[in-house]
Amino acid sequence: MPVFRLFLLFFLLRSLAVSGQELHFNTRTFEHNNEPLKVKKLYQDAAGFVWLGTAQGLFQYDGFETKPVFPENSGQAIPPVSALFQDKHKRLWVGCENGEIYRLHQQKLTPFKPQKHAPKSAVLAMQEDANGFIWLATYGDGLYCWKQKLLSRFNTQTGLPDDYVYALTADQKGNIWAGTDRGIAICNFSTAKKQVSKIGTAQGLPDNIVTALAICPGKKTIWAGTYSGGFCQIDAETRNVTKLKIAENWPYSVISAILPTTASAALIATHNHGLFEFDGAEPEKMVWVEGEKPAGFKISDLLYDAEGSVWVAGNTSGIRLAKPALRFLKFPEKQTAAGVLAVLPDKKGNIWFSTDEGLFCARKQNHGFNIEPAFSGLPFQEFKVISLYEDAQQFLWVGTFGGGVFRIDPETGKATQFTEKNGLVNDNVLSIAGSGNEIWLATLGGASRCKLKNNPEASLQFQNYNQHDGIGFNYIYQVFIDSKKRVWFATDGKGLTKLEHGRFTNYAEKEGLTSRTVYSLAETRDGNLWVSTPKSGLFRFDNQRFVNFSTPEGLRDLNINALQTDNFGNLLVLHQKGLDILDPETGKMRSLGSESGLQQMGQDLNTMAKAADGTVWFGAQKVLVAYKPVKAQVADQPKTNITSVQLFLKPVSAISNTAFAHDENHISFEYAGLWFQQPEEVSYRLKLEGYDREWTVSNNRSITYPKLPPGSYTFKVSASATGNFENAPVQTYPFQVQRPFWNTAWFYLLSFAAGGGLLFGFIKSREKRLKKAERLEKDKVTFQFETLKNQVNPHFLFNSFNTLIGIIEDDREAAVEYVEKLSDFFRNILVYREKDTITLAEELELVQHYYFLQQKRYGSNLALEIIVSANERELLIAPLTLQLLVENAIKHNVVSRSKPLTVQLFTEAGDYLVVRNTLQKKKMPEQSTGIGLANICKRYAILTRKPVQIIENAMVFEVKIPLISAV
Amino acid sequence: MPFILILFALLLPFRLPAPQQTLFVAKTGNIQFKSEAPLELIEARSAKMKGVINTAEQTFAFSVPNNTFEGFNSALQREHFNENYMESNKFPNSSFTGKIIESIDFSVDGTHTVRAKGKLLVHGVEQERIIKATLQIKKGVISVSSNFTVPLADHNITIPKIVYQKIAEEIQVDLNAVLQPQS
Repeated sequence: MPVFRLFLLFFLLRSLAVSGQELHFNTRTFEHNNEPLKVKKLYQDAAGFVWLGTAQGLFQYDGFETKPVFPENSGQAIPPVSALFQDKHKRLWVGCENGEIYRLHQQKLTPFKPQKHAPKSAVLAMQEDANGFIWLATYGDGLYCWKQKLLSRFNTQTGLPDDYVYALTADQKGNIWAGTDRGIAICNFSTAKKQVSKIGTAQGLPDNIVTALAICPGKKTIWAGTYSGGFCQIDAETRNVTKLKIAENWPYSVISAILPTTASAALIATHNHGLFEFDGAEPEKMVWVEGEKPAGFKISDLLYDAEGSVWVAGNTSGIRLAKPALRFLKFPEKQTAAGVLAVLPDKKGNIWFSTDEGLFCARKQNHGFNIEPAFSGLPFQEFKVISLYEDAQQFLWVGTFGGGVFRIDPETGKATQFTEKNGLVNDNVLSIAGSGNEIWLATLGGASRCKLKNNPEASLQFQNYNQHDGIGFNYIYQVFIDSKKRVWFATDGKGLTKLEHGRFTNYAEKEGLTSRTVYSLAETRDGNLWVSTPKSGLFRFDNQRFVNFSTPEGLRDLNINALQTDNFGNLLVLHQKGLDILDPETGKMRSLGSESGLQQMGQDLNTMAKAADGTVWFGAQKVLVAYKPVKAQVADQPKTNITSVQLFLKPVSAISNTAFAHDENHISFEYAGLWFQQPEEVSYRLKLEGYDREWTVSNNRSITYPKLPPGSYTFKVSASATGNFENAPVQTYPFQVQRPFWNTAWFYLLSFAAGGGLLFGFIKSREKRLKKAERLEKDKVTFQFETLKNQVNPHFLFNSFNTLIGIIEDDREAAVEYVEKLSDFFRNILVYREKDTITLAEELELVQHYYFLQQKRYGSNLALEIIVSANERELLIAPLTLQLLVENAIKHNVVSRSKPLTVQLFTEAGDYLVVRNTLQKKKMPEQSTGIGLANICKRYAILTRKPVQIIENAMVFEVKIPLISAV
Repeated sequence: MPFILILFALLLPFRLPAPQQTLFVAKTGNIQFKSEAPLELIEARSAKMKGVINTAEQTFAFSVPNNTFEGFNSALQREHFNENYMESNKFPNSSFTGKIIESIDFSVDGTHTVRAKGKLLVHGVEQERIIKATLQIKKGVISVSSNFTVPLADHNITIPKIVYQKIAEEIQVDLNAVLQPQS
């Protein structure tokens, strides 16, 4: 008997699973070295990358590429991966089948080698507890806790019920729950003592072998999956086990993974029987969601990613991806009708829908829906059902094309038909809306209103309105009652009409509604009305103005069929390409399309409707789709990462390198926009601030900037799956290319200082030179003046004239000669005084003239001896030097017969000209300015480095004049 | 003196004897297998299965020499079994060792269905198995009985294509043993 019961149950569950709400799976396969990868474990890290734990080692998947990750300094893949986990510090822990553990941190994979106690058998799970300790579950070697850089072991000796540990989960209190062969061990190591308590069959666990554990998002409940007892829920606080009736006499295989999706619901994978969903809110319901699965497919791991997709890994190569927000209710094979015309979820949870073949009802069952034709006695094949409504008395209103409207009691099937004959404005009922007891019907001939009466069986009267009453046009596609009980009419050709306080108001171009035809209406939480149009996309109406939302705002298709709102306040736009989901607050738009299984969407305006529980139902080709967002927040756009920074195509660490030398200026960036649902749709917008002026949009996943000039740059990149980068978060990488040293401020400063110094030196030396020249000039002038003054000395002239008088009478010829010599002398003085130097020959000639003039006066008492060779006469001398010295000699010495004066001029070694006279000073010295000799010294100090030497002793007075070589 | 005390204290835990007998041993357990192929039914049995259960640790070990199986439909078949399939020279024993998942009070008489989890070694290939068994405890004696299947492919036993109609892909195994407390 038990066998039979089991079989019956099995049969029932399986047969009903056929009409379950299935997920739409896409298969993705991965290859490495032309070998398909067998993915056993899946993990999404904080940056958004998905890590694949495979039999061939660890791989990083970004939607495009599957990159193998090898240990540092090794090209060898790590052993088969059996567990993946990322801790708070963004270290990815990788557990292997042979017990080895690796850790990936900052793109470096290194073996984890604790000082003692390395696990010896397969690491099946890893988890971080609330205290930040990392727990490692091994298969046969107990549990390890990595606490304060020490690995401690929990095994049967320390109270663990069994050393074979399959699964781990962490509660909020710092406990780790470990699923073992002998029940759940709740371990805590926050104190020095290893604390272990146990939940087993004695505590109500359906089976001791606990193969899967998971904590629900609210952290209140822990799910436990077992080997042969199905699954159960355990209160994380009280640790009370809630046995589920549905899991009694579990006929299915081992639970291999549990993936909580909401606070109460989870996707549960069995080893051989596929995937089902269980919601604690409906504990009698267990919905198989996998549909067709590959033969022999055994699920090994589940992942719920940031985009709201479920990933399924198993024993085949590749993984399977689905959006749990979308459930597909397939029509039975025998039903041939294609498109769904109208959909209505009723308050009991049944879904009514119509196709060309009539009206159908998907009746809610414990394990899915049973689809059956409804009211086959009514003429719904003749008159197409194009609108559906459930009134406050739970009667069904079925609007038809040509047959008016039918009001049906779904319990009894009793129907009342309303047409033009019994008061309806028109027989083509396009839309039905209601609020309380008021029902509005939109037709091709205006609108009808009726009020329900307390007795549901009582006959109903219609009040009719048309374009003469103020509605824009008689063709009304939709009637909509908003939260303020205003009635809106979407007309064909005259825009939107509002009925408020009995008055009709029309809105069209004047308010910004550029399309005259309006199809569909919806109201978002902010009170704004949204309207869809045939060609112009969406308009938002805030009761003042219409604002257009079209393809630039992210709308994928302008061919909009219907509008709805979901429970999170989003606007749902159903069109031919699928479903666009618009957050009216942020303007962010994301979409679900063929990649999620949405194709050949129903084209009728009433093909989308919301159920009481918030699920939005819509029709497509031979399928009803339920959209029930499970997370309020799923990523609505790609997550961008700068994955690599390269210098001359060699990767550098992007974290520590932000300053590059001037010749490290060939910089490449690799980046990835993670959008796993449609990786091929991702495009990038990038800009190198400091280099690019404009953003560049590209599909490339890398960019190179060769020969960047020195400067500060910021690389910016954002990714989008829609081409709209408005809200896309930007990843930045600021860096600098430093100036070469000859281009730096300090080098400039130094060069400037050096240049300044040089200039200063130059100016200084020039100044010195100028001063010297000036002094020379001045001395020369002084000297000339002195000489001139001396030569025109009245004494000299007086003496000369006296001498001349003496000879003029005796010897006329001598007198003439004398005057000639005098004149020559003065002319020479005039000529030479301007010059700096003259030849010794010239000077000697001058001295000869002077001597001639003086000799006429002193006769033989004065002698001049000149011993200078012809060569030496070519040397240079300051003009009038010798004349002055000779004159001085005559001036200061006695020249008489008793004491004749001899002045000797001769050269000395070292190019000196010596002027020597015997010293016989006058008793009464001549008045002298004393400038003459000093002047000579000064002039020579400028002309040459050799000094003028003056030697005076008892016998002689001697002046040595340096001779300057002519060259 | 203190030294001796410490020594004594150290020895204390080891000196405490287990309060109850923990090892139960069977020296002559019965095991038989059956291959139900479309064309032939092959059966063989051995009474040389040895078994031991450690009730304190809830562990067990059972082993049988392959060449002790008797029966078969012919002597040639037995020879094939030992030489071609089991390679009894290379892999003399088949064994199953592991632990009992369900915790059982072996001191109380009763019948329990338990799962034995462990490593099944056949033809030198180990497979991890969870096998259901019935334990009957009566007057300090444990009777074990179990039946399970051994897929030949799991243990690298290949059947020539010609005879696959004669040998089943999964062999059904039945065993029972009476384990006495070790004296």
